[in-house]
Order: sequence, then C-alpha cells, then structure tokens
Amino acid sequence: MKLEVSVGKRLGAFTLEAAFASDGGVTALFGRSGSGKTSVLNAIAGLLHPERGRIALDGEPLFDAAAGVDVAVHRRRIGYVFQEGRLLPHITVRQNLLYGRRFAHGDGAVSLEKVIELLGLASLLERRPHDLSGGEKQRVAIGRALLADPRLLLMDEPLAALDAPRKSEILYYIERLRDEVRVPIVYVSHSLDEVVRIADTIVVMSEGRALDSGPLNETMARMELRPYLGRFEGGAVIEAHVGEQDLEMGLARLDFAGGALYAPDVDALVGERVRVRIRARDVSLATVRPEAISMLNVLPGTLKALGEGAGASIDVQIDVAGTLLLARVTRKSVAALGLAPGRPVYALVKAVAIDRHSVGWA
Amino acid sequence: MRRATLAYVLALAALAALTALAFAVGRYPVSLGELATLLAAKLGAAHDTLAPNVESVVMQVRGPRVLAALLVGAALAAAGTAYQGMFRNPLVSPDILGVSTGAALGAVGAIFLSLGVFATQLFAFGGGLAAVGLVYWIGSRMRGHEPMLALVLTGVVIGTLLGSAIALLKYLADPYNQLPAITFWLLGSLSTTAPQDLAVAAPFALAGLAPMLLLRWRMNLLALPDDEARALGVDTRRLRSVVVAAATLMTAAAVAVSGIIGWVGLLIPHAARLVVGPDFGRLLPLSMLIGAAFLLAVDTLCRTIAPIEIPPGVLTALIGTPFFLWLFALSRRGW
Repeated sequence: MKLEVSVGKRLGAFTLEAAFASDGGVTALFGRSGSGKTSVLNAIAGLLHPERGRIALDGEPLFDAAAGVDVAVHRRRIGYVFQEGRLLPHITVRQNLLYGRRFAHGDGAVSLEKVIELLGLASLLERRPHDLSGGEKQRVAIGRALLADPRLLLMDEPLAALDAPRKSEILYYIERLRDEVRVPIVYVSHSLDEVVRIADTIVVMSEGRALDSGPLNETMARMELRPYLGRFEGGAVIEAHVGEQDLEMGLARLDFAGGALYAPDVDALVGERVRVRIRARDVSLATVRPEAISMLNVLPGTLKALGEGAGASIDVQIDVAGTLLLARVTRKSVAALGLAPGRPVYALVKAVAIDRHSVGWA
Repeated sequence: MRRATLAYVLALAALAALTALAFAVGRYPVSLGELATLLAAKLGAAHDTLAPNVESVVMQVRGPRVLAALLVGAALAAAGTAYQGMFRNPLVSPDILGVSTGAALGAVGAIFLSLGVFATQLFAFGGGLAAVGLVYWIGSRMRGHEPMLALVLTGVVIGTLLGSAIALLKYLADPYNQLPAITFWLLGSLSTTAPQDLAVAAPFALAGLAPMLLLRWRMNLLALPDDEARALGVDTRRLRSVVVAAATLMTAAAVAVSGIIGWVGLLIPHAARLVVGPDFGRLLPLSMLIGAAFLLAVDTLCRTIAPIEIPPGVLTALIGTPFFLWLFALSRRGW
C-alpha cells in the first residue's frame, strides 16, 4: 500500500496545506485540536474537496486537481470510523456487521468470522446497539468498516468519546488489526499515548500544515519538532524486544540496539517486539556513571544536540549506540555540568517512569 | 419476527374483511351470500343466478371505488413510509415536497379552464411531478446546507407559493360552477372513480413501488449520518433522488385519482413502525396493507354514515388528529 497525500485548501481562518506519504501500517495524523487533522482525513475520504493537490492510493489518483480527478466518496472503497460511530439501532450487531459486507467487492479480504474473532465480537452478536457500551459500539463500527473490504481505513479519534480503560481495550484491537489483517490505517489523534502505541508513521500537524512526517521513532526523536510533540508527554520511542520477564519482581528486560532497558508490568512475552516511549522529562543526565542509585536504567551515550529555548528547561538529544533518546533538563544543570555536543554522558531513566501507556506491541 | 408475521396476518385479514364489507354495504345492500355466488361465478365455478343489478352494483359501481381506495391508500402509505425513512422524521408526510399542492394547482387550473375530467386528472398528475421537480431542482442547488433541510425548506416555500396561486384561481373562478368543483376536488373523493382511471394510475403507482422494494435495505442506511453512509459505499445523493422520484410518482398517481386526502401518508407509516420497527423491508408492506385497509374503511364510512357523502379528507383528519397525537405521545424517539 502506498498513500500519497498533498492537499491545499482555504478553510475559514486557516489554510490547509499538507503533504505526506505512507507505505502502509498505521499512519498517525497528530496535532492539537484545530490543526487540520480531520480535514486531511476528510479529503482522503472524499468528504472534503481540496482546491489544490493530489491524493493517490497505490498510484491510482483519488483526487487530482490538475487532472480534474475527484472520485466520489462511495467509490473510493475507503472505510471511515468516526469519533462516535453510529450503528443502525433497530437491528442486531450481527446484522449491522452484515451491512458492511454488502458493500464488499467480491468475497472481501476478511471473513465475518475473522472480524468477529479479531474484534472480540462473538458475545455481542445478538445484542442491539443500545445495549452496548461506547467501546463495544466502536468495535462493531470498526468491524462493519472492515467487512466492506476497504483499501484503507480512516479513523477519526475513535477513542475520543471513551474512558481510559475502554481506550486501552480498543487500542489492543487496533494493534491486532494492524498486525493480523494488515489493513492500512490512517489514524487521527491528539493523544501521544495512542500514537506511540499504534503508529508506524507519524505526520505532525500544526495550524493546517503538515510540519514533518516519517517513521515514528525517527520523527519522535527530532529536536525541531519538540514543541509540537508535547513538551510534557513527548519523548523518544525505541523499538526493543523482550529479553527477559522477571515475574517475581514484575520487571521486564527490554533489549534494544543501545543496550537493555528495565520496565515494569510489560504485557508481552519473551521474544516479542515492543515499542517504548521514554518521556524526555523522565530522563536525567550524568557525566559520570552514578553508583548506589535506585535508577535501574543507566545508558551510556554521547550528547548529540542541545535544544534552544529561554525557559528554565531545555531539550537534549543523546545518541545511545545509534538509538536517539531525548532528555529534558534545566538550563542550570546544562551549565553546571558543562554539557555540550560530543560530550559522553549517561542517560538515567527510572524504570517506574515507563508505565503501561508507554509500551505497546511493535 | 413473530410479531411482524402476526401483524401481516392481522392486516391481511382486516383488509379481506373490509373489502367484503365495502362491497356489501351501501344504498343498495348486497348480501355476503350474493357476493360469494358472484365471485364463484366470475371464477367459473358456479352458474350466475343473480339479478343483473346486483352484478352491476358490485362490478361497475363499487368495484372501481373499492379498488381506488385500496390503491390510493397503499400508495400514500408507501410514499409516506419512504419519506419518513429518508428524512429520518416521523412527522413527514408525502406532501412535504409539494406534490399535493402541485397536483392541486394542476387540477384547479384544469377546472378553471373547464377542461373536463380526464384533463383534470392529467393536470393533477403533471402538476404534482412538476412541483416536486422544481423543489428538488432548487433544493439540490442550495450548496453549503444540510441537503435534506434545504429540500424541506424549499418544499415549504414553493408549497406556499403554489397555495397562493390556488387561492387566486379560486378567487377568479366562476362561483356557481367552477368554485364548487374546485372545492370538491380539493377535499378529495373516490365517488367518481371510473375503471379507466385505475388503469392509468396503477402502472405509475407500481413503477414508483418497484425501486422502493429494490432499495429496501439501502433505505435503512439513510438512518446513518450522511457522511457515514457515503463512506460505507452508498451514493446517498442518487438514492435520495430515486426515492423522491418514486414517492412522487406514487403520490401523484394517487392524488390524480382521488384528489387530496390527507393524513394517510403521515399516520399509517407511523403506526406501522410502532408495530414492526423501522426496518424498511418489513415496514413498507405492512404500511401499504394498513394504508389500503384504512382508506377503504374511511371511504366506506363516508358513503354510508350520512344521507350525503362526506369527503374522505374530512374523516381522515377527524380520525387522524387524535390518533396521531396519541401515537406521538406514546412513542419515543424512533430513529
């Protein structure tokens, strides 16, 4: 799957001007509310008509302003899961799912049984929408979209209306969708937690513009995007595999290119690949290896770049044997330790700072 | 499902009983035995031993009228069912896009020009189609509005304009011949139905019914928000235009035969939905059965309860208003 998007349109107060490409997997459109994420999604779906640009799926243009191409919404074969999916209220979950199937071309890529199994819908089939929780409804809506055999699935903040436990439950199902059905997904979110867990590619949006896009771990570690990736929640994302699970201590050892990282309560088996977000604010720096310290993760590396900024704190990029980490430290510490690019440093990460929201299946 | 089956059986039984009753009662009563004999004779199973005037009452006088009531009732109910589903609103009637007002203007114009009965029907039919065509043409050009809302508002405005034109023609009409004819037509009646009226109207009504039956499961998807239905793969714009065309064809054909008989298209689909729910495939047949039975009952009452005929539109309003208010109070949000 290859999705190419390049769209421009005046939308009231701001101008939408976004260009990015994706090679499949989950592409996250990330940005604050009002940054134009949903407009981009609607342009891909065909619900919004751009003034300029081109949208193509596997080389086939869905929209091309120059060539005058604008494929109608219902012919694009793009599934859309809305923030609060509406199901037909008077029929059962099974019948709702079958409504998706009616639009599938040919036999469809995914069978009803597979969708039921994948989204855990077996016990809901004979129930009616008003008996379902928000998360269950959303799962049925995803199943219905999937059964229509879409070439691409669009999700517009599908978790926005759900409470925290439901969110994490649906994320698990979306991860399975990504890994087992391999349907390409474009996912709109303003929550870094969600993006870090499921996205392969991230498109960072601000004020109608796509500032940058690329593979999640590379983009997350980019210094110039720090202001847009959440000062508080942002941080580098590393890919690792579970090297050991110490069930007695409840601790997992996650091996990655730059060494090993200990994290608590990792819900994955030994050998499975995971991705871990390490928030910049959870990383401390030392110029000598500290001893007699409770922090389990002491990663030797080299200071690569210092961020700019006039506030009390500053972002620092550290190269740990090829893997980039971000640390957020005070300018006072930078001065006191004489931190400068090229300097060997130790990045210190409290294991307990890596919570379950920061770890997902890779 | 069992509830739906029971509803169909009851509606069919009521329809059969009412039909027999409608043939039997009237100024010249025909007994059920005579009806049975006549039916058997017509089917070639028995020898016709009835007085000739019995046969002519049943076949020439009551037959067309009964069939007209069935056809008009079913057509109005079907059109109302389609519109209520499409507009996601149980308060919508087939007249909402101006078909009745357009038909009325056509008929009133024909009467005003003293064109005769067949021309009046033709003008009514054409007027209904033209009015909805105009409303649809203008309404679908209102960009930047919710399409259904644009359509309804355009319908209301154009309807008012056509109403003024009717008022003007009534004002100008000859008060001794034309005005009573206009008033009579506007109140609706099945008393003058001739067999050839049915032969002309029925094909149009069936032509309108066919797409509704074929699109029955897509109709259900109109309950979803427009964007969601489109993303799923429904061409909502085309679906709506087909539904409007089909419902208009049915209503215009009905109105051309009977004049304006209100309430059937509003009340009956609403009642049927309370029984079988909003699934269009189940709702449409039941709605048509009840609509046919209801209008037949009303028309039979109209010609029997008083020394003079009562216009059926008056009776449907008398029955419809309280019944509808009661249904409305009873029902919760259906969509």
